[in-house]
Amino acid sequence: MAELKTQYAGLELENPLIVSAGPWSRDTSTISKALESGASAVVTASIVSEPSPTHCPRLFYKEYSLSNIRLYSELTLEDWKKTIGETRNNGGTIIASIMGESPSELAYLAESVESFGANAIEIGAAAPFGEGLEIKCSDPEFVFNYTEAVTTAVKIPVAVKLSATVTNPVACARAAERGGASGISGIDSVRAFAGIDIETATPYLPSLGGLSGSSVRPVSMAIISMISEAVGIPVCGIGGISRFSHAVEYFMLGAQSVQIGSSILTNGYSNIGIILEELTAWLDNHNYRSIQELKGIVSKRISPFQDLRSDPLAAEFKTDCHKSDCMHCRNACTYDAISFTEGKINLNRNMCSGCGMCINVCPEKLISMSWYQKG
Amino acid sequence: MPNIREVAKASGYSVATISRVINHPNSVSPDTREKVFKIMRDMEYTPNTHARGLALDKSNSIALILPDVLDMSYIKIARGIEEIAHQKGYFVFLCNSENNHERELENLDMLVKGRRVDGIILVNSLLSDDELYSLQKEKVPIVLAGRKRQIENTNAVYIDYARGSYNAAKHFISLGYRSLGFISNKSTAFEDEEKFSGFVQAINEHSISINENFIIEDEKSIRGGTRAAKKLLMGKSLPEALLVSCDPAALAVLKCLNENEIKVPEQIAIIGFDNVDISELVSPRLTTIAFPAHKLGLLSARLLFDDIDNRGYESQEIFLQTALNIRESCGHGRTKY
Ligand SMILES: Cc1cc2nc3c(=O)[nH]c(=O)nc-3n(C[C@H](O)[C@H](O)[C@H](O)COP(=O)(O)O)c2cc1C
Ligand code: SF4
Ligand code: SF4
Repeated sequence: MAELKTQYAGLELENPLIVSAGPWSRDTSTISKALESGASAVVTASIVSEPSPTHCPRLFYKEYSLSNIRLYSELTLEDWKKTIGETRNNGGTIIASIMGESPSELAYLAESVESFGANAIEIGAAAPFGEGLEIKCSDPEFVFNYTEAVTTAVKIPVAVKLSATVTNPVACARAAERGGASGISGIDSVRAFAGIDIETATPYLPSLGGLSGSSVRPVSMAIISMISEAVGIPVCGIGGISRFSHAVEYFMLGAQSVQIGSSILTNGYSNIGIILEELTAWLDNHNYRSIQELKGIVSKRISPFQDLRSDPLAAEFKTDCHKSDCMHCRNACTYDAISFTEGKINLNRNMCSGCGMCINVCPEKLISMSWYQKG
Repeated sequence: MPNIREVAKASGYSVATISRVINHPNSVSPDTREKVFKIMRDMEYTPNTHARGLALDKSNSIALILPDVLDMSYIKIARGIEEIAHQKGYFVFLCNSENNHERELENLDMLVKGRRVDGIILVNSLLSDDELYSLQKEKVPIVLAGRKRQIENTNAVYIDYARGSYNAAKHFISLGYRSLGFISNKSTAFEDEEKFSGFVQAINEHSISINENFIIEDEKSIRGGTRAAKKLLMGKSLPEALLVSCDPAALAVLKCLNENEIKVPEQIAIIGFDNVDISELVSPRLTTIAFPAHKLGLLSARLLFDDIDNRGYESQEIFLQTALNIRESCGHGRTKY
């Protein structure tokens, strides 16, 4: 059987599935559910000096996107003493997520959670809302300062969680590494607006909030692909993971572990066990002996845009298609290369620009791409 | 036994002087020293300068010295402290020092000498470094809340007030205002110096000149704000934007401008300081610099109990940031984050 052992935040983990910070890791009971379902470690909901009030409702889910206006943990620092202690007594591995506004405040929270028994710390760089106009963690100097303050204050290992709302994630990741972090994770939810019920002209949520779930996975993968090549410490992918294949994608981009959040709300804790089983089976079927073998294997196939050199390709139909009631491919082609004449779909390869869109929309998977020198 | 104030009264000196005679006799003229010592002997007053724990048996209470119990933001600090103390099973003694250095020294003297409490939190303290040193010698766990740590090995939680007004002034400048005014609180508190210095820093960074007529100092209150606004209105012109050091004064300024049919923010933009609850209920809604008063209380109490419980941490200095709550009075347009 494939080896699932891996590392994150200076910890040796039994498997690469960690439960991320959120309401699903809110207290002793949710944390123990997460651990019982197979997660190797749990990151606590973010522990802060002063919990903020909760709003009702605070979650909105539609079309695979979850929006939330929930900031941090609702438990006090004193409550977390008990929760962290209980989790450790049950043999669980617990990573305390902390958030604060200054290096000194973070250092204090870090010392406190260390004294409560946390195995490691994850510094939450920023929430996408409630921060005001400027997102402080966009500044690598700021990231360096708070990371260093925390790593010097405690003996347990420290990881830094990056926000998607930064212009230069590589600089931030490097700053965290320079500050002594033993792991980088990303991303937090993305600043977004849930939408409007137009019939009643009511916003689904009354404030800007954070977006998570499937729709943020591509955003996160971009960041993971950038930072995993830039730092030497283990990287952990977070965002939109609900299937084992999503985790595999993150590994192939260079992550060594992943965190699961929102999908717990839609699929339950038990889905973690299913992901674990399917991941193991898939690795075995594909003769991978460990997840380390997957690490970054696709990264080298991703180039900077300006370096792209692509082949001359054009669409090609595998068989004739007579579906006059479909027309997806024709609608998708803004180059007028596809038409419906004489009772069937026709392709003019000389007009095809090779954009690839028709392939994506064909429900019958009748279209592919092949080498074509125009002439 | 008499207290330090009675000694001061009987001798005709201030409490601060008596305190210096006790703790730093060399900083006082030999004459004064002799007089004070004599009165102390006559009154059978014994200062307890020898090192000792405060309450020999745990008193399960701590003291909180506030500069002004009527100030809403101080009450939020007190609330945070009380929450933690309550969880710990402690009472909180509340002392009011009326923004007065002497009163603060008196309070401390009674608390320390009476050995009534296990620790003391001093909010926006006016104590000098020397006075802090002598307090430290008493081995009383203390936390300075709202003020920087000036001497080694004290716990302090403070707020970057300077950055708060710096950010507010920068916000004005980024909105295109070039003629800025400042209404400051008349006091010697560290907090008020910081607020002004942040404002000046932003102005200097942008090479904007300050019109002295637009810098007004008055009491930290509604009355002070009203007076300052009247003074401003008596001048030939108004600044384009005005930063006011506390919300009650800012609200008074709003009212005064309203009465004179001067439109905010169109004719003059305003930012207050404190984020008092009612600041968002007025029209235009007041843009204000919020400072985490409740959190300041929570953290100060935690540091104090870490010390009382001997958790063995080194003393800490925690530093908190203000946040600019952008509403309507600054002319930015509503913002949603
Ligand atoms: C309701 C909710 C609360 C969250 N709370 C926290 C938090 O306290 N700290 C934190 O670092 N991330 C928090 N997150 C972000 C998640 O940990 C995670 O980074 C993000 O949701 C992306 O992963 P996902 O798509 O698997 O949920 C929260 C997310 C949601 C939806
Ligand atoms: S999901 Fe559960 S907690 Fe949330 S509103 Fe529905 S019943 Fe209530
Ligand atoms: S999208 Fe596919 S199925 Fe639909 S018309 Fe085109 S080729 Fe036929």
